[in-house]
Amino acid sequence: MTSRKGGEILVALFLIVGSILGWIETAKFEVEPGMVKTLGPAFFPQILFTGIALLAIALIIQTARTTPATDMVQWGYWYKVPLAAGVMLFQALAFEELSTFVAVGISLLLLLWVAGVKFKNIFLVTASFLIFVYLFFVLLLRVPLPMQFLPTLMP
Amino acid sequence: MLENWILGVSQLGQWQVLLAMVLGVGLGIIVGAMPGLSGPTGLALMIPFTFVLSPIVAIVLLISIYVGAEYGGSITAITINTPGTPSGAITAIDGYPLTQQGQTGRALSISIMSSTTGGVFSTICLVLFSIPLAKVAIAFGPIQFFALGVFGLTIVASLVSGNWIKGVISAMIGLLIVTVGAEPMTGTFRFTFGQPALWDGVSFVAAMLGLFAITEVFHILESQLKSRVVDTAKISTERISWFEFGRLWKTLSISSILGTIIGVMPGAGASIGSIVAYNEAKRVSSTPEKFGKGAPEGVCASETANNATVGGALVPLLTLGVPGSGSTAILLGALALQNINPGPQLFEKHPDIVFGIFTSLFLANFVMLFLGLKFIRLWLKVVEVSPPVLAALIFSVAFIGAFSVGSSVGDVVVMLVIGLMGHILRKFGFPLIPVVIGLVLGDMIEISLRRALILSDGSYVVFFTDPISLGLLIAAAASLVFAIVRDIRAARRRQGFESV
Repeated sequence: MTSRKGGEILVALFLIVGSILGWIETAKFEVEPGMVKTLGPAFFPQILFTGIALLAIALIIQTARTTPATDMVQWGYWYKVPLAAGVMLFQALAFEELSTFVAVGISLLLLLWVAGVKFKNIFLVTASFLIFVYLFFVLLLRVPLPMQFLPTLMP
Repeated sequence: MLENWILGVSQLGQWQVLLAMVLGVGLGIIVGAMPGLSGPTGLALMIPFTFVLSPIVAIVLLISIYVGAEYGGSITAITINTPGTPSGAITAIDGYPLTQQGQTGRALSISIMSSTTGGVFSTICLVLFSIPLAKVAIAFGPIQFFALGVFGLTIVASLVSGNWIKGVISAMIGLLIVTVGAEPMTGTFRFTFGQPALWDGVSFVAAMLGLFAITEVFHILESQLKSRVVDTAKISTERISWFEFGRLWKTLSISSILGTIIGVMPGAGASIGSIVAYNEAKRVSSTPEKFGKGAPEGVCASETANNATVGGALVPLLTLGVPGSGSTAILLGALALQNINPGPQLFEKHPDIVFGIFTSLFLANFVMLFLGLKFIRLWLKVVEVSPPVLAALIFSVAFIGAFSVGSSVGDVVVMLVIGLMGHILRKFGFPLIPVVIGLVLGDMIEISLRRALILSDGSYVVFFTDPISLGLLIAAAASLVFAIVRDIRAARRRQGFESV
């Protein structure tokens, strides 16, 4: 668990830093010849970055002065989130290289394991889902999913 | 007008439309009944697969999911005191005591009959009010559209959160996400960081899946939700008769009207509709002491109002192109992906779609009544699905969905990044609905603002000299003032409790 006040102030600081960096990035936007610079492509994002930074400051003041409705941020099994995000990223990177079925198969096995599903069910769910993907997405909806070497294995 | 209705009804003659409606309502009930899932999650997961469907079939499918999900939340609320949706929590106050008294069947039948009544009433209101409103809105230009966008966004940001600052920051983050990619007026690349995958901007589908599906996956994994086992054989299926149901006419009337009005207001959604209608039903009841102990009026009020918000919420969506909730924001995006842009022009350019929506909404409510009454035991089985398995499957479907739209792994990475961002925001109390509304309204707000300023030589006075714009901006400011006062009072109450 984390103190809600501390967490909120940290998020607000992150928003302020992000807004400053974002504002600096907008200065690099090119302005079309003849266009009023103040109404160029940087105009709208600059309004938003200014607004977010000011509101983040207001949030810090508000958080420091008042008692939050809940004191602590519940993290629960927090380590499962980065683990799951890692598996998801692996699937994204391997999807086109390994083909849909191999990448989704491996990722689903890992994700179900991270989620705490019983071992025997992990294989059952993965196999059922891969059949569903083939029948629903490939055959019925004709979604062009990466197949790589798989078609060559078919008769 | 008559030919438009004929056009709308003729759409329902297609078997694909009817199939989409039945499947949509069924899916919606499942999604609504499943604790941990919500209507917007179900809608977001389905969007990528609507590309292969014709516009009317796609829209009917999504609207039917929306209708079904609003009812579905009540099933688990009544039977196991675990609401599938926020508005279901109000239904549980009297629904679960009825179950404890062995009257589950009666409570569930009151729930489905009330939901249908509220849904049909609000559809009638949608038809009556949207056509004249669209005629007024047709005269809107960039000044009015900018003010309308600001109004819609501000009211959502201030109402959906218990903290107005967080609500407005969330909305601005949504607006910022839209600025990624080629800028709409000059084509200048913004925040693409040399990544070709971002040149066309952040994919709407990827963003929706990130905000609704991936955040839900993270939430389920982190909280380690467990499945429930329901002994359906023990549940009584004795229904309330239509005659008995008719005795609830007063509650039905009040709740239908309140639900529809609240549905029209951006930001106030089904849960606020249910709360207000429940309190009103209790206030006018001759036996208010029975509320909370199994009063049929309590279930009736909550369920009538939450389904009545559906038709109400479609009024600003179809006529002005302004969504007021997560579900309607996704519907707006789904329509845009089919090259159908909601707003006053929709009624002129696509009367077939508009009247198709009207007629299908009527019918979807009756499909919901049929499915709700006939398959109660089946819907109850939904809660036995293991949440961890569900989380893994949601991710896999979302992944394929995000990829299939543009055959781009970049969209999948965007979905993951937005999902992680949404998870962190939600953890620290930042509401996600304003992010979604910002995403949907971002282009309209930016283009309207810049066009209006270019036309006025950079003068902001134009927004205050136009009566419609002025009215909308005053309303936006009023909603912010209301939220600020509400937050200050809440903080004082908390500090008061602490000092005691």
